[in-house]
Amino acid sequence: MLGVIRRWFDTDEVRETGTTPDYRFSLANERTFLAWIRTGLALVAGGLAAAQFLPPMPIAHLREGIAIALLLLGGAVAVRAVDHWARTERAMRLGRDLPASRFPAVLAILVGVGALVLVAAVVVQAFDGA
Amino acid sequence: MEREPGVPFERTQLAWRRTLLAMGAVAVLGARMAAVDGLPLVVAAAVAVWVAAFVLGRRRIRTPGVRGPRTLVLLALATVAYTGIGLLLVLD
Repeated sequence: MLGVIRRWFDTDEVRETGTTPDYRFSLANERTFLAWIRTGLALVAGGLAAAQFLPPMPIAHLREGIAIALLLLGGAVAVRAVDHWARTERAMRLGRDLPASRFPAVLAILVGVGALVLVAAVVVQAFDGA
Repeated sequence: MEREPGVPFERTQLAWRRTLLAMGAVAVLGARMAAVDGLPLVVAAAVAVWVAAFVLGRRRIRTPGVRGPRTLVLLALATVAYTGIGLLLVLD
């Protein structure tokens, strides 16, 4: 684990592996990384907005739970973006296949399930109020 | 169009600007929440993280070329810092 983190910071280590790929590929990898960071920032923004702007919920601490889940998910997306960038860069330099990842599918399922749970909560609340 | 050498770099520059802009919005949300909660130090931290990311990002995209991962790691850490600021404010 610590070795992985040290490798992220060691700029020369990545550059000494294999051969330098076409700069367009490296820049594309960087843009993909930035897109993931924006995804993470959007989740963090959602968490901050939920904490501030949602009305108090019928279920105790549901608002705080939503906020904390979104904040943690956003941070995880950002950390994973670094790891994926490094593995892609390494694969390009070594002429290997790009790393496959289940993370986008996992993230999609988590966000989808979270949305469905919230829809269910809103529907239940509507019928209780009526 | 891809043969034009400056275009991939310009796209990367624009991606950096979008990202820093998004981080600015997160900084404002965090700073607002901290201000409402009466925590001036956290307001300062939210703004300082964004200023640092802005300066580092600007330096990276000022001249064309491919660079190492250090700034990318710091950008991810800045995002994680907002997770930390958010958790601090929610659990406070």
